[in-house]
Amino acid sequence: MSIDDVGLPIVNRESSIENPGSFIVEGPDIPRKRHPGARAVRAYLRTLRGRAVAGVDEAGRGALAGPVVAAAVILKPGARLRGLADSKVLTPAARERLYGRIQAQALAVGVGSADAAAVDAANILQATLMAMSRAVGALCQRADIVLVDGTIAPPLAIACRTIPHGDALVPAIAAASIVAKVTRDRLMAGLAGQFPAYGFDRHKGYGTADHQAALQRYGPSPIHRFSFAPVRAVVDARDRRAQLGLPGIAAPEAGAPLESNVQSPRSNVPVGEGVEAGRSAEDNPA
Amino acid sequence: MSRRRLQLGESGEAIAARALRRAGYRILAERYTCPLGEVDLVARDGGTLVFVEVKTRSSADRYPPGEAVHLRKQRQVVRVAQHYLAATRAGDVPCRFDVVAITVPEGGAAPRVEVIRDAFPVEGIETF
Repeated sequence: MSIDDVGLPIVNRESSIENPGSFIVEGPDIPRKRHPGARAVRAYLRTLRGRAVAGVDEAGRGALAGPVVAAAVILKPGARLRGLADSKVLTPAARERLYGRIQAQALAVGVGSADAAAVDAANILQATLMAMSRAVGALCQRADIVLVDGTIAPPLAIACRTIPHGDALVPAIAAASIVAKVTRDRLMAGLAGQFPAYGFDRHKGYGTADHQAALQRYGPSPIHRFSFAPVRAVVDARDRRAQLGLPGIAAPEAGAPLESNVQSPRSNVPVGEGVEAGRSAEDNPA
Repeated sequence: MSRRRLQLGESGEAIAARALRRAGYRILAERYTCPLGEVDLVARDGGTLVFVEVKTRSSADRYPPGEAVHLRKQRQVVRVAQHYLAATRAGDVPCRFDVVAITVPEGGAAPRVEVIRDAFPVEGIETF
């Protein structure tokens, strides 16, 4: 398998050497694992010496909630990033450590995202490509060539090529995978504060058992991806229950009394008089 | 809005969330923001979706906090609620609007928290 058998053709093979001081780091920093076409990729990378190479990867494509985040990274020539590897094989602590070193040692880092609504409006592939385009657009320095993990390239005005297993073979893509993953994890931790019922800080929106249980119990949040089957299934199940005249949402938490499905709005009461009908709870902050 | 008052409002939301959790509510969203505005809390109380407006006042203020949610604000909360319902494909889920009125006494005593359930009706408020 040669590198020319995979991915899209190079759009602009003669891209000029605008920044001759930049080249990608290769060799010992990436563990030499067996990947199809690894040898061809390494040979190809050597031909890019002297060009500003941006690696691009994405995070959160399979999650049931939250945005898909992409990053683009141009590494500094001679950057030393020991332990650099595909974000999937690293522990969260190792990712955080490398994230800081990448930020310090990269010539440029760009991040882009597409939110759950964008995923639903188009589809996850198009949303991912959108995020990737935005990440490349956010680079403060123009890349000579963009190398994208996987098999499908985003629409770009820059020469672009896809590299299957690129996150394990190309240092700049490995760095991008780490930046995308760490950025998205932090984002989801923030959203966990805004939507506290779902545990986004733990599972980052992926379909773990406790996430699916929360989905069942509370229904989806505005940041869920309704085009994804597990979310869709919750909505459909509730609609079916409604058709059968059953309570519209899944059973409340164990122990809590089941409240009537029909809440009569007290529409005959003048606005403002509801104040009297309150129940009080004293709160003593610790 | 002065810095001091902003902080008063923010801590009020945290106090309200704690009080509601204690009363058996499950908080689904805090400060849900959409192009139509913001609602302080979205919660589940049993099988009912509850949109909560939090009003915080120091006891030095002239009027009780619960009365600060006027028709204009009610309309806005209803609009944001409709946005939330649409955004979560919630369909015919039963809903309610609660107001949490927090009064902060002078001198650092514990605030008084009143949960006014079904503070204003779902229907009968024109939102446009």
